[in-house]
Amino acid sequence: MSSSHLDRRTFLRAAGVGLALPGLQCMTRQGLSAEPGSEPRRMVAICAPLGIHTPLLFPKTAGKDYEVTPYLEPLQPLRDKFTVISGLMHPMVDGGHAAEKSFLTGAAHPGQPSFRNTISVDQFAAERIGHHTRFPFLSLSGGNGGMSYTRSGVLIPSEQRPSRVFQQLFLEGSAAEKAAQVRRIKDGQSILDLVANQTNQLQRVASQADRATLDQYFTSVRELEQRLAQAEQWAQRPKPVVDSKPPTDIEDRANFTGRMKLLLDLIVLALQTDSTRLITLKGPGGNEVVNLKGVDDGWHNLSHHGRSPEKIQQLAIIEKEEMRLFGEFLQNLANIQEGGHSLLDQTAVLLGSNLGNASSHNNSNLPIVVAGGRFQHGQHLAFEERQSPPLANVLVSFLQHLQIEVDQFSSGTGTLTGLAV
Amino acid sequence: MKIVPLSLAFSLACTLVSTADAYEYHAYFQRHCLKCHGPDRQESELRLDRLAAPSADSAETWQRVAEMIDTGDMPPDSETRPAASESRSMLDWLAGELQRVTRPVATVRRMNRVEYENTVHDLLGIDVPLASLLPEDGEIQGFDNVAGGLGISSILMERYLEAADTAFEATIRRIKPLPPDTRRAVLMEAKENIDSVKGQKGGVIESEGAFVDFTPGWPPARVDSAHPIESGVYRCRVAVWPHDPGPHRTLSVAIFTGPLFGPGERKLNGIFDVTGTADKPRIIEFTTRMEELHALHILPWIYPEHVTWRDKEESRPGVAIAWAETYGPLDQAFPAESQIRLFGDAKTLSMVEGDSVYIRHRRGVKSHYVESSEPRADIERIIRDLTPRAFRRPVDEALTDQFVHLALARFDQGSTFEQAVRAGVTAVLCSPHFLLLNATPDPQATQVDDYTLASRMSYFLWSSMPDDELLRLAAAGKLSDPAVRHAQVERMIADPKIERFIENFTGQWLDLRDIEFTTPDKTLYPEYDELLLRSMLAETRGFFRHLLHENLSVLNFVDSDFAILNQRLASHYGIDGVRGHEQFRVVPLPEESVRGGILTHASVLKVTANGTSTSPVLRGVWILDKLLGQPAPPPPPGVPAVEPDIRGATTIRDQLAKHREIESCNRCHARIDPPGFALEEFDVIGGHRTWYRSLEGKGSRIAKTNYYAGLPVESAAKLIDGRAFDGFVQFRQRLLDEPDTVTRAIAEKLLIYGCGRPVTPADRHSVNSVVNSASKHDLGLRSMIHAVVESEMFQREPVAPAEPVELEAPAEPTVPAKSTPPAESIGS
Repeated sequence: MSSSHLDRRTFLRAAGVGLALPGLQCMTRQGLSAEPGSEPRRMVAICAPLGIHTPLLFPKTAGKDYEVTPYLEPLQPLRDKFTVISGLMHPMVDGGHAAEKSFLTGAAHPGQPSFRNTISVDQFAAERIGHHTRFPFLSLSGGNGGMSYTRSGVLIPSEQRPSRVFQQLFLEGSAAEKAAQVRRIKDGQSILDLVANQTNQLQRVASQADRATLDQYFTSVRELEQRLAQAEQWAQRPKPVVDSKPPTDIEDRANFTGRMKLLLDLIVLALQTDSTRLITLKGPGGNEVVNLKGVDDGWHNLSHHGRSPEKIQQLAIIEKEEMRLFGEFLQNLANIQEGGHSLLDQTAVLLGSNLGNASSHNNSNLPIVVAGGRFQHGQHLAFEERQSPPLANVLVSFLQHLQIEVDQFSSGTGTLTGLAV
Repeated sequence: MKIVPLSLAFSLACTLVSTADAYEYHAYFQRHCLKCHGPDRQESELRLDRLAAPSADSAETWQRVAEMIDTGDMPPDSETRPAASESRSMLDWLAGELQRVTRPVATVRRMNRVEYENTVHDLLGIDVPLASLLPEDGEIQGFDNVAGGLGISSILMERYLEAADTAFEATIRRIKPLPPDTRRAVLMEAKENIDSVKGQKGGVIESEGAFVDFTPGWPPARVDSAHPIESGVYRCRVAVWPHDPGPHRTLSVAIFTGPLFGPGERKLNGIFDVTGTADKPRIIEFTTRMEELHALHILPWIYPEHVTWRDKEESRPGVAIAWAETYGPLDQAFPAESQIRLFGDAKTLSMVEGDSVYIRHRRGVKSHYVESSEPRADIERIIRDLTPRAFRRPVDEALTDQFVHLALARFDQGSTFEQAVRAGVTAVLCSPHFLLLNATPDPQATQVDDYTLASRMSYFLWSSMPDDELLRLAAAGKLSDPAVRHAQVERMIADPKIERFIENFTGQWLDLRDIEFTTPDKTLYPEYDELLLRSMLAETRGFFRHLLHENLSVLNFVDSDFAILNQRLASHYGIDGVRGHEQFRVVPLPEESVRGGILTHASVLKVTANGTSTSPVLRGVWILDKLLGQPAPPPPPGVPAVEPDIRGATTIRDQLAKHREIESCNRCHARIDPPGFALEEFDVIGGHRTWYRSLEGKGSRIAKTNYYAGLPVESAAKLIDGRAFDGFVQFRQRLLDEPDTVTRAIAEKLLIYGCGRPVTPADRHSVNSVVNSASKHDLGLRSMIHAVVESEMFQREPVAPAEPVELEAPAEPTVPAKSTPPAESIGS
């Protein structure tokens, strides 16, 4: 197994694409106003599916003067750029691991046999601002599944191979490949046109109860037609040029550090080149024995520590590494300037988990860290469990950061108190 | 626990109760409900004395009422219970009313991704993976083939385009195959193996000319010179014999095929017992598809594990591998059979040499593409031939024309012949006529037509499209005949494709799909290995298959006097006399064995636990849903969950006792916990236990392990209805004391899966009919499947509600009668 990292130097070189950015922006459909202060807003949401051990994350004191906890230590260089939040949960979202489905959607009772999911916050945003970029959104995963759900509650397949994402984002195909791509888009357009007509015909004779299914079919086809039309336009424009080599995927799941770093570095590149503004990432976490000194049990097993101090100790080794990588990622964003702001200021970043206590599969008092964006940071926002506002209020705050004018999303009824812009 | 049993003997009264027989539900409410849901109090904001008679608007509330009475949740324990017969009359009346007023549920659904893959495979004669290209499917009532749970999105449509493209590409063989050839590797002639033996890497040795491997780890036995140099179907043979197996072990090998290194899936071709001798080794043989340079991975799976430093009293058991070979490619057709199936074998078609292709061990290889001397005619013929097969019914000309025109238009716009066919085929595979199931041509019909029946039967039992015989019978109008249907169901169950039903149904009903979600802790469960995992799955599927083929009672799911075992599981269960891991057989259970029924299957016990601890809550919830058909509601918000503690000082039972002191918890946990307590007798891998294993302990460490004896298991408890049990065996007996509950639950699961739509209280008559019909055949599983096919839910379109439904006026005048398609065709 080999890995080629997108190291720091790569980023410095890649920063050259910043020069190409104005040109790229001209190519976006609506174009971006060149006035300073109107640089694109972005968001990244990361879920840690096996939880984050909150006793090592949450400070005891609330407010600006919170004490540094083991997990927050790596983030201290950016202390005024993030907020740690305790006491939050999605109301009526339960079911242990199943709750990850609702982490960005807030849909109730994901563990029940008849659960139907709703739209995730990134997709909600993509419907409104996705057309500005070559990719309306990116859904990434370090393992299986993903975090993004369509309006009809369908899980969007995530991209798990950094090399493939890199290829889609930055590599131009040969002339023959490009021609094949255009032909395929044309094929797709005429196929969808026909399929839409057929669906329409079926709708007319369908029973009332079945009409909803056919409506969904029809809408999906129409939406894809629009996306293909956009793809056709983008296919004729050059992709952004980056100076870094395509990453080599790391197959070995035990190499948590390497795999996570590839994904996080890719996110920075994607944001920096304005290839997309909306990214979700389901972090890794399975049965693998993570290749870190002092860890000899499977990650999932360690998260079910059953209060065994030895298991918690091993778990903490993994999670500290997770936080270290997260800190590095934030720093990378902070180092890139865009107009008068850093990329971090332009990007609202959420790191959290659907599990408040992985060992008991609890879905309350969730570990939540919000970084970047135009928020007031540098604090520990401590909410009283059960009396806290819904977690979806954080998502409303994110949408407002994206300059989408909504004051509700899912169970969210407003922006999160204390996370003022 | 079920309070209101529905007597089997009694339930022949389950015909539709006419609405004229207005049932005195007010009296029922008065006697049992109004104290808490009446004028004085409205618990859960429900007031029943003012509840309007069942109508479309009040149906939802009435459904809740029905569910509460049916599960026995209401009236609560503290109140006087209605007599069973009283509640039954109420429920039967209510089911009729609900069926009358409920807005019909959706029946049209898209295929799920498993069905999509099977259908495209069966349609085109290919085997390329497709399901993994599609997004995961949603579930309703625990199954992923249910209308309402299968959302459609633009992402999905995009993936359908890709999947169709992949499928089309797979029908064409691009490279001329070499003549079949034997490629053979003698292990001790391979440099890698000689070096491994010399360097004592991984402790491998040579014995009587064979390479002896002791563990599934590194380095593997290398058989590179046996690997095929091009893709195709190969017959593989491997010569093995056991080296120092000891008196009790049966050694086994698992053989995978796939890439030698790096990413990519490796397919398990089988677990084989290692028998024979150095002179007369066992020759393992199987046939499989292999890609260019794919490797044979021959892994010794040895149980019990031998630990060199510990088990000094015996010599180390290993698998001796003498040689391995492949013969092929066996599939020599060029063009491929799948191509002929799609394109036909018209003289106008030819394979034309195209670009050079790099293949490691062949020079000057050319890729080929399909060309036609009569492209327009061929395109039309191919699409016309495909459409009715793909849509599983005759298709009228106008609809077919649409696809033909599309393909021809692409051809006229500059696509090659093959590209134009590709576009046409892709359009067919993305059409709603292909992807949607249950779309009956006539929305007014109450009885589904023969073609719809053929599809329902095949998606139920084969998770795929109907075969030629079913479609022939549908064309002849014979599937409306119950005797013909019966014979067909028998034929379908005898077909190997029934394995798809067994795998999909048990995978979801019993959650077997989740079996690898956690891995047992190595310290606590050192005896767990992959052989056990695979054996667990094989046991439960084998058990289901046995009940199905022998038409044995579904009550065997609760308790049986036999098990389906191999040696690995038999030793796990403490049962002697079963030799060999490869073959599973019916083993009569000894009197003293706790085993019998799926609750004692290691698979079920594993999926209901995590890697370190068991939870009576999870297992209790599982039993309520899966075996009793009474899913527990989610916990109220804000209640702290119980956190397992494996340090050995406290048991989950003590913690739950505290939890139940909270009244809002107790309401459900009084029902959930007792069945869970009974299953505490089984650990996370299904071993029977009287004490918990623990990582720390006051007691002594258990010999040859690194765990300690923890607190004793207490499995006695009292069910919510007051019946007590002293442990798992008595608990199981309690389940059997009320056979109707379990029978109904299984009937419901089969109906949900079989009809692909949710079962509601309005479907009570279908559930009753399935139970009644099967009870005439000793509740045989196969009889129950026949009964599902004969049920109202399966045979009829949902009844339209009595009140008028607003129909949108069509934008244009409706199609005149002359162009109305014949009843058995779709489209316009």
